[in-house]
Amino acid sequence: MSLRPPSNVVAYDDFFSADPAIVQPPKERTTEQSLKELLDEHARKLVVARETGRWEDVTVPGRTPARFKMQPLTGNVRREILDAIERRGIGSHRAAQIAFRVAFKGVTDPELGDTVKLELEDTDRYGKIAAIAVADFFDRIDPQIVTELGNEAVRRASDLSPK
Amino acid sequence: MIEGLRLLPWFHDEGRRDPESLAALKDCRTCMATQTEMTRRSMGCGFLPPLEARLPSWRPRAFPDESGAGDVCAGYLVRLPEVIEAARAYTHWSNGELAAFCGSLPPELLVISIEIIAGSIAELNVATMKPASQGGLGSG
Repeated sequence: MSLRPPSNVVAYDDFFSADPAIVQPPKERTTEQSLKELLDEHARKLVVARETGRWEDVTVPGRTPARFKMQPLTGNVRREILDAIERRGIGSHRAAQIAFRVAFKGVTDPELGDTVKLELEDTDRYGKIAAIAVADFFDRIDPQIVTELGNEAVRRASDLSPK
Repeated sequence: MIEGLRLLPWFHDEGRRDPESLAALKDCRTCMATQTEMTRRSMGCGFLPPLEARLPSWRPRAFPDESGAGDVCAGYLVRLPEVIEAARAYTHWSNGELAAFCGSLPPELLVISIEIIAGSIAELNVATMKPASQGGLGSG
């Protein structure tokens, strides 16, 4: 099944950068490049994969990363989240969790199969969003999943990239 | 994405005027298969790390590039999925059917994207009316 490309209108696919099927950042320098150069290059490849929707360069050969189906956040939701940080004093991790719950629409992963049920919860500010139990499910695998994908959803909704 | 949106109308106009000049930029997969990594890096390929010292990437004639940037290959930029999406949305917007394209209220970033394309088309039209002797694309 082909990837859903990045979009400002309809759902797109995203990945978790620490997914075992995603190439991991180098831990040691090489003879030609410093560790910082290698880490910068790794980070650049992740950015390119996300902006082009082409994951080949960051995927471990023969593996398939989990595909998180994410709906672009509306400007209104983004403002609600930013206001919640300012006025209600919620932290960046909680804000990322809210963004994740609003954007998350499902996951396709051969290992998880159909174990992830998209339970919805009705909220005053954001309408129907993924239940906390959904975020908790991913937290048990790796708490960074929710934080990274939530932050990425906010970043995408915040501005157009200069490129 | 902003630069890709600005370049889009000019890229296609240049492709119409001088198809051969864009032969290498028209298809990333062909370019990857036929050009060396060093050549692609010198062209500003968005898939590869940028070279520290290189000439600016290709830009259309008369393109108002105030930033003087030109860091990334135009072919890469105009094929970014969100740029293509905005170009499709522009077609619907120009017929008053943006809501039908979006299926709901158009997202803010999409509207901004369309505005950038519309502005760039206006700039292209001005350049087309201006004679080449004055830095435009028109005859004379």
